[in-house]
Amino acid sequence: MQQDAGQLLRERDVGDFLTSQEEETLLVLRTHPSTVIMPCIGIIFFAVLTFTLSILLSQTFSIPSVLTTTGILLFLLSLLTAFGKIIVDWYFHIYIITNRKILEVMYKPFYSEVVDDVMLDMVRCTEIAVKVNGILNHILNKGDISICFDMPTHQDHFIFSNVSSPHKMGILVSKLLSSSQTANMSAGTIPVWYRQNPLLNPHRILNKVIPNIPLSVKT
Amino acid sequence: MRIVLLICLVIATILGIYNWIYEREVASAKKRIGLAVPEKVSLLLKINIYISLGIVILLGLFSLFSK
Repeated sequence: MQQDAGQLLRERDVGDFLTSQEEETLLVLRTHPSTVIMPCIGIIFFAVLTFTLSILLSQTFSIPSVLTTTGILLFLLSLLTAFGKIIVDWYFHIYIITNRKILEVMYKPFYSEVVDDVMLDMVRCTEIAVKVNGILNHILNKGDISICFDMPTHQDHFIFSNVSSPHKMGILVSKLLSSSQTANMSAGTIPVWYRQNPLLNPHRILNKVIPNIPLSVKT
Repeated sequence: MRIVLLICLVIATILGIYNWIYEREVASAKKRIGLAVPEKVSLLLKINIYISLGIVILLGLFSLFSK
């Protein structure tokens, strides 16, 4: 498990996403902290602005202080709610690379849940592109890593959005992908085409099923 | 003015209920996706709930004693 970038997670934080035998977690990361900090700064700015404006308005138009206090409290409560949501959404958005798959988990409690995985046994990585757009992203060293996969029926992109140190991460991802695919080929690892026993793995992440291949349930 | 305070009380109650349900959903993330929420995040959401409760009580008292 890589340990050399500040935003990488400890393996125990990741959760039980390893669904195959001999599967190891190689890299786990979240988006750049600025995706949280910028909205939080906006929230603090609006809170200060609201407080100042309400004080001025209450003095100018002689609004009862009870109403002013009520308005401020309600607005602050809604800002706090938004603040909590921003942090939780950032926390539950992670990218995982194992030696068998690449996984993106984006869980927004109460709103949506996205689990996107690419089984490395079934695809060939053709291109890794690193994109950093804008002055702010250059200063913050934030960007996207786009991985193009060549699948049997089509090409597809897997994008790591708004990650920190995208160039360094892009090189790391490229090394991990090439080493994991080489290791899988040389070890003669059986491609993952069976359906996992749902009793052992409570996730809804299922390995791809290839038609005309008999299914075997792992116990 | 009492009507305005009552409306604000209803809004605060709705926000409080939303915060409570949201905290329950976040706490069940381990069961849903296998990723546990850290204690600090859970604490932040609980603080939101307590603040909501405090505001509801405060608004209730304001509307009770207002004209």
